[in-house]
Order: sequence, then structure tokens, then C-alpha cells
Amino acid sequence: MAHRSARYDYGGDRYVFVEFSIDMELAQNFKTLSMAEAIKQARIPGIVEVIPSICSMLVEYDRTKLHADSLIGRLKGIEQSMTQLTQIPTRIIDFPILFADPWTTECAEAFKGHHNTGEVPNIDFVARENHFSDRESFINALCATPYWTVMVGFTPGLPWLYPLGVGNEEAIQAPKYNRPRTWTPDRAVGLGGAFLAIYSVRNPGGYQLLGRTTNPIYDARQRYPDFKENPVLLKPGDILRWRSVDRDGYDRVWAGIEDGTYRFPIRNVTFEPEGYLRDPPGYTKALMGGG
Amino acid sequence: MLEIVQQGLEASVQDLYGRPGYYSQGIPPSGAQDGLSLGLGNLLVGNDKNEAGIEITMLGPQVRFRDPHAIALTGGDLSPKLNGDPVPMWETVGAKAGDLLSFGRMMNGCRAYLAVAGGIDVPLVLGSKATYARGEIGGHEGRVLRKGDVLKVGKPAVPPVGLEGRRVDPSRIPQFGAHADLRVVIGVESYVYTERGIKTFLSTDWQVSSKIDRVGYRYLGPQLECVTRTPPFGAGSDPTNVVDSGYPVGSVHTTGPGVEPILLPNDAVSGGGFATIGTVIAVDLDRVGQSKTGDTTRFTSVRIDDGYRAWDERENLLTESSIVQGR
Repeated sequence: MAHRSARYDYGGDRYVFVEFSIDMELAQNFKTLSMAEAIKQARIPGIVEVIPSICSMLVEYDRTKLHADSLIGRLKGIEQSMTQLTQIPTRIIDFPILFADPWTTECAEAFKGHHNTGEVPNIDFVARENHFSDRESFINALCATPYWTVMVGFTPGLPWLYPLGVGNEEAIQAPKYNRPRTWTPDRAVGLGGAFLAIYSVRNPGGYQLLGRTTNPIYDARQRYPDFKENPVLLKPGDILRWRSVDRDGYDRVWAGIEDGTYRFPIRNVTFEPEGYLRDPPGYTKALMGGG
Repeated sequence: MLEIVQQGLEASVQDLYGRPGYYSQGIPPSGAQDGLSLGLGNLLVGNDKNEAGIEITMLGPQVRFRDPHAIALTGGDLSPKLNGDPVPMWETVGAKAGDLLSFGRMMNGCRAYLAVAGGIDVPLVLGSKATYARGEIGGHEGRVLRKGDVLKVGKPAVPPVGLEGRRVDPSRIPQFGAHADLRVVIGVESYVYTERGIKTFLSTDWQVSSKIDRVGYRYLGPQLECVTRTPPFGAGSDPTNVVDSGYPVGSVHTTGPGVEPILLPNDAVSGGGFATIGTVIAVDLDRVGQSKTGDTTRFTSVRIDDGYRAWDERENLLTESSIVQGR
């Protein structure tokens, strides 16, 4: 457990801002999620919502029931009483992806002038930036790396994903576009810095486009079986496993999603942050291997 | 029922308090951009103040009433007319079946509200009737209104008798000049800006740009000085880049190195990688919604308790005490 304490601030007159780190550290994301859970468990009257992000969080409160200063006092108490990171009940979810698919390729083509080198599709640019000899070895490396959902948001259900089991320096990285695109297809998988994101709705964006997944992550009309309870699929802490499919494989899964017969392969697991931090590659391997 | 016979620039179904509780999933609260005006309109027609009405931005649609309804128009003055004749604002008016509501020049403000006795009858989605168009949920089919849309009206909470002629107490009608003063709580990631940068932020009459919608209001003015720093790993290459964090609704961040502040109103994106300099207090978002391209805006630093007091005052305005009867 990191010893430094969080910084507390006001996010206007209806949020409190809690910042654990200004750097990207998975340990601090685990702390953020642990603390978010502990706040929910404390059931403090007047809290509207806990909104965790990567290494910080917002806590929205009802000013008629709770003053920010007393809320901050309560939060500091919770932070101090957290002696270790809590286990995070989470899920490993299979994400079929068609790399260099026609839709994101069309988008990359349309915004060629915004791109760093103008290369279409973007995947070969990203592979080269990361010193892979060819597209296939890049795809193999990406599919061998599980990605942790550090945050959900920006647009509805959009996951921000960070690689598990590798250090910051080994993470696959790419610069963002020089100028953002004005649209991106939904379900496009993009890479910006060391983060992967899945675009949840057709939206502007500047991440390098790698491919498109079959899996909807936001279903506004709640048509699909996995969205009956909630229009958003993913939660912070969910682990995504990429599975490269060809066009036939993509079409088969998509047809099943459309007619409601395909269910996302989901495996429930308990993630132990302390165990992970002791041995990131070993822990990740055991977790993903089904151990 | 009422029918949209001609589409305006952007009209959508909105309620007052929106859809709180889903921001951690990237779903913003939405709701009327000027909640005070919608709420007063609802009171005029005997509705609960949180009932759904229509938010009408700049260029109004044409609306045909298919049944008689008690209605009220509040907010910015977009020169509303009933069958071609000017119709008074901030006052309950009877519309007959077949009457046509239209709008003309924008005289002041940016958004007008149409409240109808009984409210606009759309399904509750995640607890609210508010439209969030970017996320395609709420309101009428999750989108802004189009020509040909037919909207149902709910059953009035009180019999619509004696409603006509009810007016908002003139001393309580908000004024929308070409300059808005917004109260802001400095903080969140204000450490990215120098003291001088924050001073510039607070002493500039910012020009409201042409990029103003429910997701973001962009302002034009000087560059804000930022501290010299190497952005943290994973954050990007600009000194105002931070590891992606939550954006409070009402928060202001700059893009690029301290340029073009963006304020995030009710359809805010929930987080991102730019440093927040501060957050406008909740009540003043009403005023943001009535500012338009070419207007000026100044931000004044306040404490959160000022925000709480202003909120209590607004809640007091949203009561029957603001309504007077007859001339």
C-alpha cells in the first residue's frame, strides 16, 4: 500500500476531487478503485455518485445533505483506514477484433491529412513505431496482452484500457493524430499513448485506429441480452482479452450479436492487487491461464 | 399532442434535474441548460418543476398544437408568436387546437423553453425524460426533434382551469444581457496554470465563440500561462495534459497550452486529459445556457459556500411564491 496520501480539492460546489497520483501507475488505479468501493460500502448519506477515473476520482454530493468539508473529512477517514488494497471482483471478457477492418480503414483514409505520416491503415505505422517487424507479430503481441479497464467514460461506456503484466516502458505506445478526426466508427479500437480505447458512439477522436471489435460496449436502446440491466457493459477493473478474427469470424459473431444468440464469453475472477504488484507478469499469466 | 411542423436549429425534450447517478459510466446528467427558466415555465402551467418541456435553441421550430393546452414560454426571447401574433413570455397562455407556435428573431438569451400543462410525455430513461443526443438516450427517441415528430402531452397534475394569466413576478424574471458573470471555484488541476495564468483567466472578458452546444462552450481570449513541466507518463505531450481524470459538470479546461477555455455544461464528457482550472457553480450554468456567440463572459472566483447559498436562492425561486395572478 502506497504511503503517500491523496490530495483533496473542490470540484465546484457539487463534487469533491480526490487525486492519488499525477502519474500513470496501475498501483494508484487499484487504490482508486479500492477507495471507490470503500466509499460505496460506507453508505454516507448525501453521496450522489462515486466517479473513479485513472488515478483520481470525483465524488458528487447533495449539498442539501452534506457539506464538502465534512465529506472530505469522511473520505480522509476512509483513506486512512484502508490498510490494504481490496480484492477486486472482476471479469475476463473475450473481445473479437478484426484488425485493419474496412470501416476504420475508410475512416483513416478520410482523415489521412490529420495523421502523423498519412499511413492507411494505421496499424502498420503503430507496429513500426513499436519495432515490430510486421503486422502479424504486432497482432500476436497485442492479443497476448490482457488489458485492464482503468476507467469508463468520456462518452457512455467507453473503456480506457491499460496493459497488464508489462512495465510502462514495455507497453505498446503510439502518438495521437496530429489533428483529431471529426468522426470515428463505433466499436473502433484505438491506441493513444499507452492506452487503448473502444469508441462507444460515433465521435471525434485522435487515437491510432487498429481495428474494430464485434462487441457493443454501449447499447442505448438496451436491445442486446447483456444490456438488459444497464446500457453500459464494462466496469473499471474488467479485463479484456483480444482475439484476432478474420472477416468471416467477425461476421459470424456479429450476426449472433444482432440476433441475440451470441453471449459474450465472460469469466468471473477475483483480482488481487497485492499479488499482482508483487509479480506483474507471473500473476497475470496465472490469472489469464485460468489459475 | 403537438407536432413539429418545421424543424428549428436544435430543439429537444428536457427536464429540470436531468439524470444524475450515471456519470461514472460516461452518461452525463443532461436536463435543461437553463433550468431556472424551464422550472418557472412548469410552475406557470401547474406542473411539477422537474416536468419535461422543450428546450429551443436560437432558431425556433414551428409547433402545431393538436389539442387545447395551457402553455408558457420562458427563457431567452426568441420572439415567439401564436398564429403569427406575438405571444407574451413568462405568462400562462391558452393554445387552441390547431394553433401554430413559431419563433422569430433572437432578442436576448440563447434558449427558450416551452412548458405545456401535463408535460411532454416521453418515457423515463434511467430515471429522467431529458434528452442526451450524443448518447442517443432519453427525450423523444434519444435525439433532437425533427419535422414530423408528434409529441404526446401528459395528464395535467391540476385541472387546467384558471391557469391563464398567471405570470412570473417581474422582479424574479432572469435578465440575459450580452455579458455574463460566472462564479467559479478555482481548483482540481489548477496547479498546471501559473498564478499569472489564473489571474488572466479571472480578469479577462472572454468572448463566447461559435462553438457552443450542450457538450461544450468554447471561449476566445488570451493564452493562459502554464507552469513549465514535463507531462506525466501516459498523459500526452502538452504541458496542460494530465493523466485522464474526471471533468466535473461545469468545469473549465484549456486545450493545447492554455488556449481556448472550454466549459462543460449538462451534456459534458465525463473525463479526459486536459487540466481543469476550476468549476462554475451549479446555478450559474443557467446563465451559461443563455449566452451566445459574440457575448462576453467573465469568471469570478468564489468559495463553495457562495455556491450553496446561490443554490438555496434558486430553489426558493422555483416555488409558487414566484408566480403572480393577473395584471
